[in-house]
Amino acid sequence: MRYGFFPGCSFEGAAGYRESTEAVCRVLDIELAEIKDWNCCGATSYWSTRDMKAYVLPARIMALAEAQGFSEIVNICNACYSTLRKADEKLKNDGELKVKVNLALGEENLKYSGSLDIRHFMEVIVNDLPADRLKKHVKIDLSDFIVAPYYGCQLNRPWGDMDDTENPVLMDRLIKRLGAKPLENYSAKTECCGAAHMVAHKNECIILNRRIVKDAVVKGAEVISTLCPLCQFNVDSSQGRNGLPDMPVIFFTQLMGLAFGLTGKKLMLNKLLTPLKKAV
Amino acid sequence: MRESIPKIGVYVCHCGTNISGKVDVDAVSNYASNLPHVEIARNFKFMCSNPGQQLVIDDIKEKGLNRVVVASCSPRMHEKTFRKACKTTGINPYYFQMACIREHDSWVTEDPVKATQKAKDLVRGAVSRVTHHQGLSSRVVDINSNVLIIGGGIAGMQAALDIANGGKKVYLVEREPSIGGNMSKFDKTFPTLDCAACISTPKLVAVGQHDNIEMMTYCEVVDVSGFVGNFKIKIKKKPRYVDAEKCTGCGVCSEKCPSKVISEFDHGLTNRKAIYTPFPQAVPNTRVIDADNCIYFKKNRCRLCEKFCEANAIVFDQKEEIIEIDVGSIIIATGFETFDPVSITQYGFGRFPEVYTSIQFERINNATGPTSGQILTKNGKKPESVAIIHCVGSRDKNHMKYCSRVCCMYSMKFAHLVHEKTGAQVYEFYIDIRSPGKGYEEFYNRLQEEGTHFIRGKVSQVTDIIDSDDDQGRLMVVAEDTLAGRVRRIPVDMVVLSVGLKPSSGIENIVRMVGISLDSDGWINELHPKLGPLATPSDGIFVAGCCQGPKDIPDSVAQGQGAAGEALSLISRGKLEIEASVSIIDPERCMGCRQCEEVCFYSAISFNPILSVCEVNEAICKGCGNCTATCPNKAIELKHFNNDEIIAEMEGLMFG
Amino acid sequence: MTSDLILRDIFFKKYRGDEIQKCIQCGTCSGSCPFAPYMDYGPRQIFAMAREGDMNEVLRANTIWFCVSCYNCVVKCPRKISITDHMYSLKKMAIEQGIKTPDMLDFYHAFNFPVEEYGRLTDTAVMAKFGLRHPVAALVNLPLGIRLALKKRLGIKPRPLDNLPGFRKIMAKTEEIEKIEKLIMAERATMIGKPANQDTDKKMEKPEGVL
Repeated sequence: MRYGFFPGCSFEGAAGYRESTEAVCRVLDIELAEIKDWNCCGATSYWSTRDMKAYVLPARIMALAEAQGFSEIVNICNACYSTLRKADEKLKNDGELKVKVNLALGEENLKYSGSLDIRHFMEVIVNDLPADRLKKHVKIDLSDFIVAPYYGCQLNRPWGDMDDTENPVLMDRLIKRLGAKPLENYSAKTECCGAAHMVAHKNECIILNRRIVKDAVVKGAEVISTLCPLCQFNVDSSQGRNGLPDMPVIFFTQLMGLAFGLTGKKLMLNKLLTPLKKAV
Repeated sequence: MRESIPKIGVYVCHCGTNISGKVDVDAVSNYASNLPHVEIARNFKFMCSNPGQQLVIDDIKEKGLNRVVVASCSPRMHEKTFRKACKTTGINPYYFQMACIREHDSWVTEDPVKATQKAKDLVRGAVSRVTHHQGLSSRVVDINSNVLIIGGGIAGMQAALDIANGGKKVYLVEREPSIGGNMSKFDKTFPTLDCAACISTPKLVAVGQHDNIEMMTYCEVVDVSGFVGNFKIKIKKKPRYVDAEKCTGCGVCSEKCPSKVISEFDHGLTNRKAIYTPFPQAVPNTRVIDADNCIYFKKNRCRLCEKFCEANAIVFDQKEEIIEIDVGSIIIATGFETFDPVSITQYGFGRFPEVYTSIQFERINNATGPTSGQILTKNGKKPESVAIIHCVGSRDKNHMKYCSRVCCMYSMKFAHLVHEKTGAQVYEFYIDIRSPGKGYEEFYNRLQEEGTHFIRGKVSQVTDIIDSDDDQGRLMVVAEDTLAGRVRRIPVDMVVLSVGLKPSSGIENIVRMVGISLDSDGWINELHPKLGPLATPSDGIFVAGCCQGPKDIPDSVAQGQGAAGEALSLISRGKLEIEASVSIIDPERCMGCRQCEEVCFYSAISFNPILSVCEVNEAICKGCGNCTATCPNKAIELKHFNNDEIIAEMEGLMFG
Repeated sequence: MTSDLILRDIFFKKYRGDEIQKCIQCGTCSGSCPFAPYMDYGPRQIFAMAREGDMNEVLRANTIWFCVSCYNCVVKCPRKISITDHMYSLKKMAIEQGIKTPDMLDFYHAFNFPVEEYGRLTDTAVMAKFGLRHPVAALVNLPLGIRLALKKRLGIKPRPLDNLPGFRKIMAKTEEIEKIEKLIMAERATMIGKPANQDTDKKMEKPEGVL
């Protein structure tokens, strides 16, 4: 299985996201072929400050993917997923804008035509892989490992078409397939982590992240599983100041790696700010 | 084939400024005066008024007109009016044609120049057509005085009582085992706080005992054919497996029955047995066996009910019956259902045990409900604070865009009940308070004085993420208090979702059977939103109650009485004149292929085996034209819509 | 200071903000907004003010800069108003009007800089640029930065694109197209209110093809 892959600017510096994703792909025989010469998608910053450039940046990524023969772009970051999808939808419906954007892209002989599906890697694992193919690789018994699935905001909002906006279940399903226990009544699963506001409005964001962690702690989770580098960073780094016991925050790919029997070293668990202490 | 040399009068209506505001009516009438066979062409402010009609009548007399064209509104508005005017002068009313230059032109065309041109085209088409009109005579049919009422809720029951008291026979068909509808589920009604059962049970009993009402419960209408005054209805009588004549309603069978089924009447809050009645005051009080959940029917064991029934009323081999009746008019009173808020995931219905819908809360408050009328949480304790959330599913483009009209009032009723029974703090989260009825605003004031916390803000979330450890086990309701300008997070013990109303399930089948339509929200389309709320475009089919749109009990009762009035008015006419437009089959051309018989919706065509041709029953034919279009040999002519007339109209429209 | 009504006109026409006229002020947006408790006015109030013309206050409030694009409001709005998109529009208007730069705007500028320069960014590059204007914030995040560095998570300079010149050309072309658009719109704006063209008047009198 081969997919066009958009890593985004945060893939590299995230706590073991890249290493665990690559390791898991090797085990499952999935190829995430990086789109050559991809640029930053622009995320919230460009939507907030620029008119046309906010569309040109994601359009360039999609045009590159099309030129390189991909039919889908798989993302690992919620903001990248949301930005690409939003730009794609707007360009498909606004012919004038599409003409202007393609005019600019023409400087590199690129063209956006809107033929791609924009996807997230977690959803690819759950929807494209048959359950038993995943279960085949599960070597470690995680049956008493309670994992709180934290989705963040921009995966299911505003679309809500692949999963519910308030109470999504795709990552819960993944956790179950890995043999672990998803925290069934985790109410904070789509509470906001504060995203980029963590820099300029740290104190307010800590209060938001506290809610995410507290609900997991109170309901008995041992780890929070997440699927966006910024969410992981915020929930991870905000701890230690909120009067709660430590709650490690790992990527879903690291959870998969643990289930497959890969070592903590291979999954770069040491890069987490709040350490995962469970002896797995 | 023309019957005589046509002498046409053309009248272009201004319709106030409805037409003349967009169409140059002078230009159109001038243009018309130059068309072939047009003797006189005029334009006038209001053709449908007395002076307007008098113009036509005078011209017919003075100028010897024998054809009339009026270019004005839709024929559905005034075709009858003008036909009648023609008739008074002695010319056949079918020598009249309307050109619709309002709904089809002035109301839908932006550019006045284009609108005027279109009006000219339409008039030209009508003039061309009317020269081919034939003189036809209307049919007169008898009206059967029986009435079918579909739905045994408060509107249906009221209609039944009024018609029955008027001396006519009513068939009241209800698909549940008992009549009573949604009102039987309630505890108290707003704004008087009357006990719902106390005021409705007398109606149920009256219906059950009335000589003129044949109550057909646990029955469903499966087929409707015919036309106004002469409907043939097929009703499916579902088997109760209990003999209604013998059952005394003692209830021993239900006591002994070992099975447990989730109760529909209690909306999932309790269980019932497989042999049951929905509620204690059910009419009729005959038990019914739910075969899908009965151990005997599933596994061929048990039969305890039969064993203990002293009246020997259990009949396991009872079969479904189809009953056929003849009625002259039908009243649809199928009522409403509540919106299922499980899709509004942020309110936690189905996730949190203490989140209830309003209809569930009614059952909790009702003395025959799961808690014998006490307001208790699932751990049996009285709540200390209750949140009531308005507009759940209503006024929401994501669900139902309309306002359900009754929820503000019933929400405030709940607030009162909570105060009375528990003394708890009540928080009403609203967007607007809608209290338009008699005593409704005063009811709102009363609730304010009782200390209800009215917070203006649509709730964004019900969650179990609490702020303070004291609130362990409670629910948090998060909303902006828009009037105070702050976001509030309020801990409560119980949440009631004031869900909106939607049409009863199965309404699509009913309207399809009788040939009417639903609006975009699923409610039945009435004849006219302002002036025809109880009739439908299908003659003889009336509506009453919530199936036409959400409303409270006084309005449902009023509509029930109104629909009874409509039905009785129809019956007292005794006879009805019907449109003369029917199909005629030419036996010389008919080859007996019977395709027309197959496509006739009204079963008006039958095959004559002796002559080997098909024949139309003019009494039943509705003039839809399906057979005419289908006949491969062009043996069928639809009166008033024959080929000459249609082609003439088309040529008139297209070629100027 | 540009007049309130002109600003509202820009918001309604250029940014299609007239959608907010559908708002019934139910407050579910403010209720579901994670940052509403910290805003001068919640999103609901901002729209109440914007549509009644209090635009200068709207653009000067901290509300729009607190919007974090969580889309909670959008999925719940009973009128299906694209609230987040309007927040973006208001941010851009505030920038256009040269209203005081709040912290978040500095952050966005710091974010955009490496993207324009290299086509990609790293967190460090962004923080460094942001720290130039907000040294306190930079210092506060220093311990965190050190922890990340120790875990080898701090890439300093972004890896530039292979075809950086091509990318820069695209960005330049985009700027050019935007400039042309602005000129056209300005010209159109001056044409409103001028008397009708003589030629067009004549054409209206006698349309062709009428009987």
